[in-house]
Amino acid sequence: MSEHLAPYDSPQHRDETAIAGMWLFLASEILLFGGLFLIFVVYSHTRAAGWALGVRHTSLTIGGINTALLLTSSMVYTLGVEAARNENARGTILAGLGAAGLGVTFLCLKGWEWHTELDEHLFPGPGFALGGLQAGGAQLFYSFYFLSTALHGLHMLVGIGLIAWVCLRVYRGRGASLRVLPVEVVGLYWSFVDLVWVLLFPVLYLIGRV
Amino acid sequence: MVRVLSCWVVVLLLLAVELLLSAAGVNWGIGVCAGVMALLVAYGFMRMTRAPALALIFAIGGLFWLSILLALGSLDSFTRTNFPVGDTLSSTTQNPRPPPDTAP
Repeated sequence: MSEHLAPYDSPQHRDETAIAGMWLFLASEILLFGGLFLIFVVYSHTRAAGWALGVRHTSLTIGGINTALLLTSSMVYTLGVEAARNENARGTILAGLGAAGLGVTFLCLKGWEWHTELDEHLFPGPGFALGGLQAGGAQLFYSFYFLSTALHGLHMLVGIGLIAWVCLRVYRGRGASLRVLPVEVVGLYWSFVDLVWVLLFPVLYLIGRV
Repeated sequence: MVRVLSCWVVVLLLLAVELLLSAAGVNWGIGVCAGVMALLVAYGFMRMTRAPALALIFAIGGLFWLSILLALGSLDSFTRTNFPVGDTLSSTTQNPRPPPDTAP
């Protein structure tokens, strides 16, 4: 066994351990976001009318565009992983920059959406815009909305930072053999952030809208 | 590359179907679409089927504990029945009702 591989038996063993470690982290993330989905399951059932009132006030246009952007970003980064496997450093960097750019566009649109909602007094608390009998349920919905989108946005920021780090690493190491593992592990994280949004989008924008 | 691009096209089509189902008010259909989209992301972009066995165990374990979390967490609100609390817990203890009229 080579000394630099310790404690692994082979490079394949080392790589598989790193990928399994990332999946273990993602399993803990499933439980983190699972708590949020529990809020949805309970309150969309017990406060159905107020919850639906909140859903009807979200911007479906921005939500739909953002979903398409994030799916495209994940696809572009996956192509970057394929390029890394083919020792194509330029392709990897271009795909990484494209994916990060789409992620930044997502965050800008989300920021604009938040700005509009705050202007419309849709943040829960005193002065909440939606009155009437269902105001309580609508405030619960908007608490869930701001918490879940903030948590997801935080994950996006981390992901964009990781992609930038991967691009820098590949750029600095060009000419030498390209290490696929960091590109692949960051890709798992980025696609997971996409997967979470795929499940959040219908909860925040679609279910109960009509 | 073909696998990744075809997954992307199918996922975007499913997004369009979701929007149509939302306009029609078919909530269960939206849920099914979202589930299929999540599976496609895991299969097409995260290469779930090529992951090492240990990674699959972690992923399945995460989903297992998620199901426990959602099932036990929502059990109360889905099964609760509003029982009368009885005189000892009701406000009538402070303001007792007059005894009902009874025939002599």
